[in-house]
Amino acid sequence: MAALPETDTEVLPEISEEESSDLDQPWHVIVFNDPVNLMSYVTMVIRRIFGYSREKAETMMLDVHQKGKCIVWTGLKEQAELYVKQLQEHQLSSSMKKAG
Amino acid sequence: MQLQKLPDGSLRFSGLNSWDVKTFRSLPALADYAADPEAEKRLLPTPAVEADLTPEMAMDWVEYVVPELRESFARNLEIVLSDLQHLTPEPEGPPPDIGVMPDPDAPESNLLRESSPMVPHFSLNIPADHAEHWFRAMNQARLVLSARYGMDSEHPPDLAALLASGQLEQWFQYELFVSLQGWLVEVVLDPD
Repeated sequence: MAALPETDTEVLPEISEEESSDLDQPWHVIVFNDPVNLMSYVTMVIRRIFGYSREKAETMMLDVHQKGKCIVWTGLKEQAELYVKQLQEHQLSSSMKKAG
Repeated sequence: MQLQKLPDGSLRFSGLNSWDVKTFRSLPALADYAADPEAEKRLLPTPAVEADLTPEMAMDWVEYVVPELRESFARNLEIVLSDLQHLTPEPEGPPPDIGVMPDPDAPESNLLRESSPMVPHFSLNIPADHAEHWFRAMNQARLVLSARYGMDSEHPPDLAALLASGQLEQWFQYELFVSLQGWLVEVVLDPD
């Protein structure tokens, strides 16, 4: 078997300790209350993006409305970013935050 | 204005008067957040709370996500404007005194004529898959109006103050959008 030439060896970028712990640490996705979005729409968007039941989505929507915000999902950073993008595309006030 | 969901899922807005049409046509201007930092901040916020936002995250978001969000918002408005090109004038009804020789001295006849001016009305068919674009375009307009003027349906402003500040029309437009959006969610987007 022929040896691979040295130039084919891929050098992966080093992941710093900080980045590594960032990727492993869970993040919360939070929806904030605002005076514009209709309650029925907030429920619909939460159901659509996260696949929750109507009952669960309505409970979250009421938390948003009454308490000002609600954690709607917790998990890996990359997925959290995707969810925040989807929420913002639906024009819901949303953000992510490190869990814990 | 009458709103209908047709059997094929498309929507029909009928009985639109010239103010309704003007309001729809002004959606791009009402939803324009470019010159309004507060509105832009509301529509394009950072991805994470300040304490957890690193410069790298913020830069990546601005480079990769914000352009897609801007494009999505612009697309909603483009679709609304494209649908508005298909506004159809509604046929005017027959004159109220057709077949009857009007008596110019009869007060009823005059009243009838005065209360039935020939106001043009329009109708508009909206494909089913455009409904959400309409919703989001109107939502964007309300978000901008809220950020700009503090408009809020739960705390209606004093109408006299709105009149004095020149924002009365925007308030009525805001409220029209609230009504239409409520109908769209309940009847079209999330009817179950």
